[in-house]
Amino acid sequence: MKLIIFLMSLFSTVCFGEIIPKGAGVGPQFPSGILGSDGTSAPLPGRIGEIIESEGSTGAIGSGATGIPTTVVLTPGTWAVFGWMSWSQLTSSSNITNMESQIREVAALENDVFERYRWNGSWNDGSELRVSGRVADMAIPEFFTVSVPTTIYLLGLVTYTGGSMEIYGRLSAVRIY
Amino acid sequence: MKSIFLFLAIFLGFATSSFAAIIPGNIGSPATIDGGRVGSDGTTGAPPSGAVGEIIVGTGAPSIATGTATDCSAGTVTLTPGTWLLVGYATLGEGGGRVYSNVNAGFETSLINPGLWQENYDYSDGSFWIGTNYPMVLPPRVVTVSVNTPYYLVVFANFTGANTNCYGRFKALRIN
Repeated sequence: MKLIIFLMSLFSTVCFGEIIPKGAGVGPQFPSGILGSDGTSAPLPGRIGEIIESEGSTGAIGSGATGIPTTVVLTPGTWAVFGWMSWSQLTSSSNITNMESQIREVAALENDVFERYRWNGSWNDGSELRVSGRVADMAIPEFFTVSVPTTIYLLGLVTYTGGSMEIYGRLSAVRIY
Repeated sequence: MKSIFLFLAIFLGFATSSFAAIIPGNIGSPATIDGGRVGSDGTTGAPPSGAVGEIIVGTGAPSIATGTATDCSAGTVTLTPGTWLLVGYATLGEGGGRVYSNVNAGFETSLINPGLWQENYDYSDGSFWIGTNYPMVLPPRVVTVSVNTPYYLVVFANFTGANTNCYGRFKALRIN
């Protein structure tokens, strides 16, 4: 009988771990699984649905210089990352000819027309975009799969004459798994 | 000895009927125990096809003519059954010199003008632009498909001058 009990215990432990009856409505508690929360609060770090948000400003930034308003650090898994950027007049009105943004795991804008947001030009009468407040747009959303903690940068650039400008931005990341 | 084998046979039968198939790994929704999808095991990089977290990336750079709905992702994204988060970006006019009067962009299953401003990117303000890059971040969408379904990043524009280029990048992320 002791042998039977031992074999039963060994068999069920090896094959099923913590057993939840069929039809219980939730999945089994896999030791290595990433799960969501129980729905009563925001998911904890490491769980599906985890949210990381950060916002900030570059302070005064020179024309054509790359700035980093904010960053987030993603832990291993797959994430969807959304961003928002505001190119903002700081001291007096400025004329803008170029605005760029990108969400990236490297702290430099990518010189690729597919990868970075770039508004470049002037109005059809030849006048430049004149800003006495703010111009804003959504950054290109990105998906990241990372195997080690990885810093994700919100990058911005504005080319302008007159006055002084700064760049504000916000990043929101949600864990997919 | 006979009793041991008999007991194991009974136990195995009970376990099989009660617990269905169990797959270890990171799970997005309950695992195959109730038909839900499974993520990757988190150790081998991006999730494989069919797993939660699967990513499809498509790009295209076609010539675009005024008044024509154009697939700027060049037919590179086909969604397999499941639920997907769609994000995308398109830029017009690399090389510049166009005056645009209307620009629309959206995710579609056919080459139609994605002109509904409630749903898609729509900028129309008379003759508003001459430049070298006009950027459009598409409104993200979430869709569920039951069969393999091609999706297009469609751009429609009215502008003066010769044909221009549309550079499109389309990313789809499997949620389930």
